Formats: sequence, C-alpha cells, structure tokens
Amino acid sequence: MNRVSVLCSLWGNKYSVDYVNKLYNMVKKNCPMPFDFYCQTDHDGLLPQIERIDFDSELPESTPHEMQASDNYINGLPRLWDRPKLNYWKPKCWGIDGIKIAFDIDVLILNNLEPIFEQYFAQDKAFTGRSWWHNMEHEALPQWRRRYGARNNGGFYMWQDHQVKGIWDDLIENYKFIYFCFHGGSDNFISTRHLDKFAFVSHEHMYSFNRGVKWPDDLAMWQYRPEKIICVFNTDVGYPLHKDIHNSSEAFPWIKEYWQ
Amino acid sequence: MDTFTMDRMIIPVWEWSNALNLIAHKFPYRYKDFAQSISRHHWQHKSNLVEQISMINTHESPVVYVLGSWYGAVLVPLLMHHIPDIKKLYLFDYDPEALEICYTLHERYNHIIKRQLVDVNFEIDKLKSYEEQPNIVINTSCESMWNMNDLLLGPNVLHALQGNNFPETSHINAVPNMDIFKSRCGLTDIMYENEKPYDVDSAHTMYTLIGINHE
Repeated sequence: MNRVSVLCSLWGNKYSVDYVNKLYNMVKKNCPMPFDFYCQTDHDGLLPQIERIDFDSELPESTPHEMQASDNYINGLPRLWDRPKLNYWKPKCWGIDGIKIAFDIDVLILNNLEPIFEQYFAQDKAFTGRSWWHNMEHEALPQWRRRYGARNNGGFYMWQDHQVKGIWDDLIENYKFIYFCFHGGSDNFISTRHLDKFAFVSHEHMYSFNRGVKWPDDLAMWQYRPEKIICVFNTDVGYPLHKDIHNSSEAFPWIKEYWQ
Repeated sequence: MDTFTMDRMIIPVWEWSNALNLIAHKFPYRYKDFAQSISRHHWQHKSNLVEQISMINTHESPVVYVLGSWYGAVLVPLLMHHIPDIKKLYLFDYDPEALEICYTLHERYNHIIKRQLVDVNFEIDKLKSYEEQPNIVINTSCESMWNMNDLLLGPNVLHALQGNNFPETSHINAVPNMDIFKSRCGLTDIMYENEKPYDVDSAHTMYTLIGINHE
C-alpha cells in the first residue's frame, strides 16, 4: 500500500514543538493511509514518531538564520517571511518522494482526511486550500493583482513532484525577485505564479476559523463546524478579532478536544 | 477636420468614450481604477516628466519603452503630443485587462503602439532580447518594481524614472528619500531631478530622475 509523507516546518519562537506534536496526533487519528511524519526544524522535543529534518539550504537565504540575518525586511518581517516552506517544492527534497502533504502547524484536523484524499486522487493534480472566504469581487479588482494578492491558503498542500514541476526551478532562478515581490508570504508567490498547477480542496471540507467558509453567504467567525475536515487559523496581523489557535483553544473548549 | 477647439486639444478626450463604454460593459469593477489613473496628481507628475523628456531627448524618431504602463491614459497622449516623431511606443504591463482597455483608449495611436503582457520584475531579459531596443525608457511606478539599477536597458538610453514613498501594500519598493532613489536607479549621468508632493496636501513625495547609465 502507498505511504504518504506528511511535512511541516517550525522555526523561531512564535510556536513551540507542542504544535508539531499535536499536529502529528491529529494526522495519526485522521490519515486514511500509512504515513511518515517529518518536521523541518532545529527545535528539540518532537515526539519520537516524528522525523526531524534539517532546513534545506540550496535555495539562497531560505534558512531561518539566513532569512533573519538579511537586511531584506518590510513591515518588520523578512520579505517572504515563510521561506523555509518553499523547500517543499524541491524535487525529492530530504530524499522524500511519492505523495506528500504539507500542513501549517496551526491547523486543526476535525475529521478523517479520506474525502480530501479521494478528491486529490480523482483529479491527479496538486492540491491546496482555496480562500473561498475571500470577497471574490475584491479578488477580481486590479488592486488585488497589483499587490500580488493570494488566492490559495497554504495551510494544506498535497502533491507529487511531477505535479508541481517548475516551481523549484522558478525559485532557484528568480529567488531574489520572488522574495522582493511576494513579501506577504509563500501563498502570494504560489497564487501569482503557479496557481494553474493546483486544484482546490472543496469548501465542504475546509474553512477558516477567523473568516468563515465561503463568500458571500457563510462568513461567520469562530464557528464550530464539526462536518468539516480542516480548519485553518489565518490571521491578519494586528486585527484584534482574529484569534490564533492557541488563544482560540482557551476560549473555545471544543478546539481543545481536537487539538491535543 | 474637427472644430477649432477640438483641433487644439492635446488630449482627444471624446475618444475616451469607447474605452469608458468598454469598461462599463466588460470591466465594471475597474471603473475606480481607471478614475484613479487619470486623477490630478497623475497629470501633474506625468506631464512634468514628459515635458522634461521632450527637452532633454536628442534622438530623432525615438523608440520608447514604458515599463508598467497601466492604461497609458495620461502618458500616451502626452508623449504623442510632446514627442510627435516617436517611431514606436512599447507598452509593458502584467495586467491583460489594462492592456485591453489601453487598446481601445488609444486607437488613434495604435499603428505605432506595441503592447506586451510582461511582468517587468521577472521578464526584463525578454525586453532586452527584442530586436528593436529603446532610445527612451519610462517607468513611472518604480515603487512597485525591483530596483531599476538591475532593470536598466543599455548604455546611452535615456531613462525617465519616478518613484514615491506612498505607503501601500503594492508599493514593494517605496523610497524614503531622493538619495536612496538615486542609488536604486543607478543612473551615472543625471540630467534632471525633482521631488514634489505626491498629491495636493500630501505628506508623501514623488521623486523624479531623468538620465543615462553610461556603464
């Protein structure tokens, strides 16, 4: 039977290994296929079932240390601040091949991932979350394009290397310009230059805790939606109504039931 | 032959009717963007730029490249008026809808305009590979692009560059002052420089440089 490789990344001090360990537990509970779980990090304290992998350094200025040390900052953050996640697109990175899944470490998995896997296999295309909760009229505006606005949500990716051919070559060739232009993060990069390589997880399976399910009719915040599979906690910096998963779990006991 | 008044108007605004109809019919969500493109400060800064170019330029029948041309609503008619012997005007932008509107907007000049769908930040080599290279390069949105010193198109080409320090998400390269703007533009021979308020009552600044890179 096929195995799937689950990837995540942890750097800096905003999050702890606890997030990774909880993610592992949620995957273990809900993954319909045998899996290996990897975390790209230099932190200690991972569960023994998690294989720690080093920050790949082929992509220039992509390790947390290099990123922090550069003077390429905007709004207090390094431009394209989540560069370590770009290593996911390197073919056979860390010697990992086959079907891969990448999660952000602050997602919640509510139910078995099987329907998402079925959708992925049926389409034979790389897979990511779509920001269905975005105001699509805003997305159509020229200003959205001008600021290289994101349309996908990178809290979840599922792919095989042959389905994302070209992303890594683009990064190696244009990293200097990519870091500079897509200062909002890797989702902006994927959305602007490579979105045609991806199909999207249905809004029936994925939602945002802070933004809802689908524009324009279902945008209620902070909802418990037990029928969904993945819940992301994307926040706008400085917006007090957006809650991260840690604070949410204090305020909403149901989150703790899943996030452990 | 039109009326005395129409013949003397620099900008044939009645020809914008078709473009506005196109926007209303096909791109209604762009009407604010178009309105912004013809606001007062765009006229002020772009007319100043083109007037200066027309005095500095020594090339006859120049080939002109405009990087990040948007609709060209202001720049194109100004260039045609002040440099009437332009041989070819290349407009480069990464926004296909803007280029489509631009086509309708400047129908009377379409025989010398060539539009290219290009993201200058990533495809400058494509521009450098064109057989017809420019005598004049204009970029009025340096604040939205990579540093011009990496995007300059050859020695002895007159570059007319504008950037600002207006804070906006799309302004990935806003400049805090003229010295930094100069260092990012890389012109070795500056023939004109200017800094003016970005807009009426604005606390922000528009920086303008015209010159050549001899290296």
